Amino acid sequence: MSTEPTTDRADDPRLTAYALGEMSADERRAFEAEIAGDAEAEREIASIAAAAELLRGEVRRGPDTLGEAQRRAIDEALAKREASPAGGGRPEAAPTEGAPTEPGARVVPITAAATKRQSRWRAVWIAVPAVAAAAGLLFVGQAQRSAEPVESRAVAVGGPPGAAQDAPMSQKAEAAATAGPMAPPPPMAAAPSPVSRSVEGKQGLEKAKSKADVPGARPRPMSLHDEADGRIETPRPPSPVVTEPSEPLPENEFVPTAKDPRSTFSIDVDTASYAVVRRSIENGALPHPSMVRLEEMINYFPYADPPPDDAPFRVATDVASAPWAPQHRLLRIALKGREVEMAKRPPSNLVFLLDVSGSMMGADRLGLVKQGLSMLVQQLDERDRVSIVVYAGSSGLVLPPTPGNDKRTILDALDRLEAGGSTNGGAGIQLAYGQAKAAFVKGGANRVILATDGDFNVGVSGKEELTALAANEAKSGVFLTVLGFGQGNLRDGTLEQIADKGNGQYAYVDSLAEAKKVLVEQASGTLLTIAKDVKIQVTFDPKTVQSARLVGYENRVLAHQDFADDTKDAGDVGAGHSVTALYEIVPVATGAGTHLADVALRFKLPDGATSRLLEVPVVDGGGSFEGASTDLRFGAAVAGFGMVLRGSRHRGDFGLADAARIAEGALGDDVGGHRRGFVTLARKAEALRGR
Amino acid sequence: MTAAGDRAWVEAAVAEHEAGLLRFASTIVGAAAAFDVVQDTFVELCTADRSQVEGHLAAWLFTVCRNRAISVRRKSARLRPEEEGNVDAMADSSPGRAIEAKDDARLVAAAMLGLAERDREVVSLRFAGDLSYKEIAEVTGLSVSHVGVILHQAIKSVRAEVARRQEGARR
Repeated sequence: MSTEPTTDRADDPRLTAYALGEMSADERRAFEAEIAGDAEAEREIASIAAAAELLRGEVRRGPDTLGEAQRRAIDEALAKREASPAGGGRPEAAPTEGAPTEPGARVVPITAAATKRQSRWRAVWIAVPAVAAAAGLLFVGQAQRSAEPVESRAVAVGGPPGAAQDAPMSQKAEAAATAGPMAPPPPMAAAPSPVSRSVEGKQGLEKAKSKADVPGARPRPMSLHDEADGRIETPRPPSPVVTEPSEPLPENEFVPTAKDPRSTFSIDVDTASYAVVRRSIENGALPHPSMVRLEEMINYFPYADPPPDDAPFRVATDVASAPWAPQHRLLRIALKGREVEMAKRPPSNLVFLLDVSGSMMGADRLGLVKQGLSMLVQQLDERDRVSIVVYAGSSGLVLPPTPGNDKRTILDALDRLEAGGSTNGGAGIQLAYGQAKAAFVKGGANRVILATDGDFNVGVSGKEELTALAANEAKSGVFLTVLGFGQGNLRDGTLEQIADKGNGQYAYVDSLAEAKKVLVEQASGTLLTIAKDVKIQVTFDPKTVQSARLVGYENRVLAHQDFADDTKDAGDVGAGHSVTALYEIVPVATGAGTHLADVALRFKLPDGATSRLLEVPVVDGGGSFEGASTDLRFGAAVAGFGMVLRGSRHRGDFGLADAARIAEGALGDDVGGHRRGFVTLARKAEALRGR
Repeated sequence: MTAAGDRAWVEAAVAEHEAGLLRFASTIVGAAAAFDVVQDTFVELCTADRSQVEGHLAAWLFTVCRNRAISVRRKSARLRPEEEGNVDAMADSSPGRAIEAKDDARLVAAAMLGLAERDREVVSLRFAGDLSYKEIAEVTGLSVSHVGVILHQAIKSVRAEVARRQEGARR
């Protein structure tokens, strides 16, 4: 974006971040390289630094030392702390408001705070329960697991029921404001929002009752201090997160080449399954087998295959022995999509379709949606257009198409969003596609980005109806990205199918790190589709292959005749995406130079109607697993990990520890640290299994 | 943890953050009321579970301080409605006086007053409190990106305002 006209340069907030020393060493280096020789940028930075000094001087004219009286009061409080055995000084052994880590903590601190408050505060605090109940104070009810959140909360606070009858409503906002960081108020301008939300809130509350986990609501700003590993600190229940009670699809079996030498499937660039599985394990439960989709787990990781020069793809193959069955061969087919720099991509017409229903409350849901999309918006420029459509009980346009360099308007619109109400996903999808079509950019990236937990419960909510709707809208040339959020009620399977039918991709976002991966590291892939309807057909050589089994892709298997049928929909590939498929092969004979199969690939260009064909022969080099490429070994480790989790009968005596060990030896460059994260996860899973 | 360790911890927190908190609170409730607000903030710290606060002490303190300050301001606005919305440390540096003033500081003060309240708060957290973007996001509930944009534009508008007023003063 360094080639932007100079008028734009002054609007780049990175100039200020740079001048204020807010950039990490890497960001700084990259930014310095970008602005090298740009005299205007240098002038801007100097001017910003000078203005910042003036501002610093201005705000520092206030008082800077506490008086005697204040120091005495603090000393007294310290003395009380020292006198208390727990060191916490609290009547209850409650976690503080500072950094809640347990779901139950949301209720208690208000009680604790009320009892320790000096008398001048007491009148205010007693008013809390009645006012909170009157307003349906959402974030309290949401945190409750019990069936009667409001009532039980009133008891927890313990205020006499009549004590606050004459409390003016205006104290309610104050109550929220005084509750400490546990439940800090909305930013000042929006402070009275709990009142305005209370009507919708009842619906939200109804919905929340059925949820196993609704961690906190709007009032708590996200805590980002632990961004080191990217996890957003939210209360996490130890309970399992099985959300999709469906049975897993039966595993692909070995097919004898004598019966059928061909295998045909659609590629899949979804990555959600890995993030869903990871979240489950981190919550202390092994995932339900239906959540384990091997291809999504393998494709979650970046691989080192070099990108093609001109063609949309490069196809590479690689063969070694299978780690879970050393007498079998493991074939790795790797597709690498053409990379497109963000600055060189065509203009985007993006419609954010955001679920703001009650179930989306919380820092790991709507809060994370806002953070993630803000990061995406940072990368847009004046060529791009962003619209925002929200849906809950009803849907509406909250931001008409807005140029990508008007970041303030877009970010303001995002920050204003609040969750509440029921979920009519169907109406929202229709409105969003309507917007995308109205602002359609020919030759550009036209895309609806849907962020939801998928718990559609009003209007068109059947899985079939929704997927049909998405399939129909996909014909308009508008692509779809589905971002899944939250847990407890995440409709993983529904979202995967909507994305599948809607020319889309599905990613699950459970942390800021994940949002960064999908919306920053892989932004061009998320925004820009370089090929659609990508299908693979492998024809095995019956002379050298006795039987073969496709690892994963259970719901992507195609009929052989669909391979060359251009009317049959298949998966899409974004810029820079890696797609890996593994076959486990029972060989007739092995040895270097054995021809095992031929791989054929069909794809269409994003706006094309007829497919192109690519063909690659597979020759076995006869290598051992230990001698195989880093990428093959790592992919096999993830596959083996998934096979154990889904209870595959082909896993042999392969265990989670094997997955961790192999992956650890196959980290490669590990850009982004995702592979290292996998090793840790596999160890955690093993510990859980050992229990 | 030992009680003695806690005392040292709280005292270090006071020493490190009292100035920033006082100045920040001053921008919300005025200098006079800021002392009580900051006192309450540290008293709150004395009752906090240390393990829950450590690692993000600054953000924790400024969040508590901000909540308390907002609460105090609402309360005083209710008791003295005629002063509503006007309890501000900058109240003494009205734009009228600033225009007459020659020095940069006055110009900047006037420009600060021209900012939206939320933007002024972000500026104050940054320059009075020395908080990082991330910490400001944590305290205000805004996204980190949004904090970056607000600061960028606030600084820009302050620059523009200073330039405009200097221009006006020369004529």
